[in-house]
Amino acid sequence: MKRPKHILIVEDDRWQGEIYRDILEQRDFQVTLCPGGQAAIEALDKRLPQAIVLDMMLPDANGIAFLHELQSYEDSMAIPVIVCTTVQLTASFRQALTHYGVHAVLDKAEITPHQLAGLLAEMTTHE
Amino acid sequence: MQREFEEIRFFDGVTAGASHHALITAAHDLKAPLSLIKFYAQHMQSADISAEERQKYTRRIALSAEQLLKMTTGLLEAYRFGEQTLPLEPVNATIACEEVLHELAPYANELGQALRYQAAQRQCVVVAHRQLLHNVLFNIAYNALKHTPEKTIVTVKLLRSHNLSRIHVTDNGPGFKQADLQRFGGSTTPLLQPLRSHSGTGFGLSIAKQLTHIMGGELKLLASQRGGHCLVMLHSSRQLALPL
Repeated sequence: MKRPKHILIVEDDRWQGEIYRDILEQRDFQVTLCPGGQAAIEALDKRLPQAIVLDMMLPDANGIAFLHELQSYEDSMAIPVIVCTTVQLTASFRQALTHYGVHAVLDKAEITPHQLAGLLAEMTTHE
Repeated sequence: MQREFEEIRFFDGVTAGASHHALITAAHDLKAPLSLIKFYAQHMQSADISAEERQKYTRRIALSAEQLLKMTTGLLEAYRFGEQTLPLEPVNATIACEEVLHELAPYANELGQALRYQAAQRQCVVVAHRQLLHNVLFNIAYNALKHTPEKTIVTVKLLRSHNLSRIHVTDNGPGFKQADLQRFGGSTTPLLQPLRSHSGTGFGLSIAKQLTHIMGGELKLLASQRGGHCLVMLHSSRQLALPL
């Protein structure tokens, strides 16, 4: 039996995080939901996920700080990240994010549940 | 349309740059809950979900929409009343607090937070505008419920002294960052200066500050070891202060 893919969601908006979790669990992902950067780092120490969904504005850190932390360790630097945000990011900022292992930057206003799940399935297929 | 847009001024004394910044901040704070509503609705349409989940999602959509309406109403009122003399009246702050807490109870429940109220020993009647006071209290308490970790206790406490009534909204969450306190409380701060340390931009608090200012009162964010602390100070209406 195949082991379910593990996704780490870093999202401080509880309702937003829970709907991500519901959607992904319905598609047989295993989900860890963290409300902030510190909790996410602690979750990484316990178990490395196959992919991360990251909000950029967090109560205890910004997304970049978390990405920087992720890139600082060999075991976590290759984990693909999807950034989901409502912030209008500039093209240069988006470009900079690719250097931090970010595979996609999604606008929360435009992404659909189907797209999010599809993208994560695609990203974790080759694991 | 272009002309109408150009005529929008946020508030007196706010520079064009700050006004532009406020507009962007407002758009951001409206975009987040709207995106959430859309996402929930899409999931409900496309997925096979249980009746219990459907109920939960419907509740959250309704609560998010209600909060959005509160925020936009507050913004419009701040703009409208910022331009004219506001008709103030004696308002029973005890009842205002109780009404807001009653209204916020479903939010607290859905967010997994506890909401408490400590009434003053005597009735507090303040010089205010009923609707604006309601909006101020709602925005502050909602902010505390929304932007704190699960199982946070948010307490609304009403105190009356000789000339001033104080409404404290405290929580045992992580509190405000020093930069936020300085930005929000500085004397040169534009009234719609947003907070940046929250996941949201704290625009609700900025609106609450402006509305309190319009009523002749003051809204402060205070440093506290125990968590977040917002203080609304309004003039007491002594003539109508009724002993219990």
